[in-house]
Amino acid sequence: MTVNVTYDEEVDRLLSVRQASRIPLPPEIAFLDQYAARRFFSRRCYYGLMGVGNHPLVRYLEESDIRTAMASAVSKAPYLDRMAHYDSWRGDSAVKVIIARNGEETVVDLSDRTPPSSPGPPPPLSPCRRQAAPQ
Amino acid sequence: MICSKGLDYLREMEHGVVAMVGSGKQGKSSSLHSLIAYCQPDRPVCMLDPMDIPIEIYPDNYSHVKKATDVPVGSICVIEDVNRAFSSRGSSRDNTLQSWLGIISHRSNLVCFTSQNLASTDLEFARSQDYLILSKKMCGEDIKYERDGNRGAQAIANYWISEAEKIKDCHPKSWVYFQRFNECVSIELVPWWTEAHSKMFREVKL
Repeated sequence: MTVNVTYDEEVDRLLSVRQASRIPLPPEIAFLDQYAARRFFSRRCYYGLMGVGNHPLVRYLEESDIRTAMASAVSKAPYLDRMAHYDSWRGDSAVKVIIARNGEETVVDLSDRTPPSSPGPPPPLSPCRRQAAPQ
Repeated sequence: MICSKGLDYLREMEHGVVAMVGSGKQGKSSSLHSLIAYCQPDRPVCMLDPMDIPIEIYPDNYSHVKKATDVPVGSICVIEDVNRAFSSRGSSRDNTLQSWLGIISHRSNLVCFTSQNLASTDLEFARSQDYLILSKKMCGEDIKYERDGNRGAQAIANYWISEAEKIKDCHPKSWVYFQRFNECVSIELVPWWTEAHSKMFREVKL
């Protein structure tokens, strides 16, 4: 019996990317450049192995990396986009919702509907995926 | 009690440009006509359209003209789907629009139009006069091709309209987001609105 095995590098790469996307990660990592990404994931891996992945300081450092990356991405945006971002960050707590009926206008309170802003806690590493700590 | 700055501003607008932007079948026309009836019920309304439209299905204070220069003094001029009459690069070839918009303040005309995407709309509308943008929901694909300056505000409008739609007392398509005033307003539909108004060009031959 003869078995033909073909190897397609592009397909492998795409499948790997697809597999990787099943890991829950904050979407803001799309803003990380290669150096920030290396630092972000190295830190996560190392502290996860040490069992302190959920420590407040570790989470603070992670959020700090993401904030820095987002600020860096926004700073590269054209002026109008930067103003739009500023508007959106300021705007989510200041929108007035009003119902106008028969000449009467009533303000509706949506203060308990603020959008989520935190990326959430990092996922725990499964025991079968232990890796060597980064140098 | 009046508490919407956006509606108050619309009541006081004697001249200017009001743009109702949003994806198809989000209630742009119905909300626009409802806003006109709510804020300025006593003004005559003139529908500007190069095609023949069934003006008899509209109230008595509505009229129809085919050219911008025929819009009566003091009236509110409504243009349904402005990209048909004034496409995005039209003013570079013909300065009629520019000339007209330059004098609407003298003629006390309030120009209101609906559009699915401001990128397809002539920029002269934004440049010439007091320009008020009212947003309905816009889907992701439409936002991708929207003008850079409007994308952020449209994303905010989408979010807040989605939140406001959870209020059960109001029809989901009654919500309009006033960009300048950061307000999301539900406006009651005018009693004369029917399916015929929603599909006004169904029988029209291009």
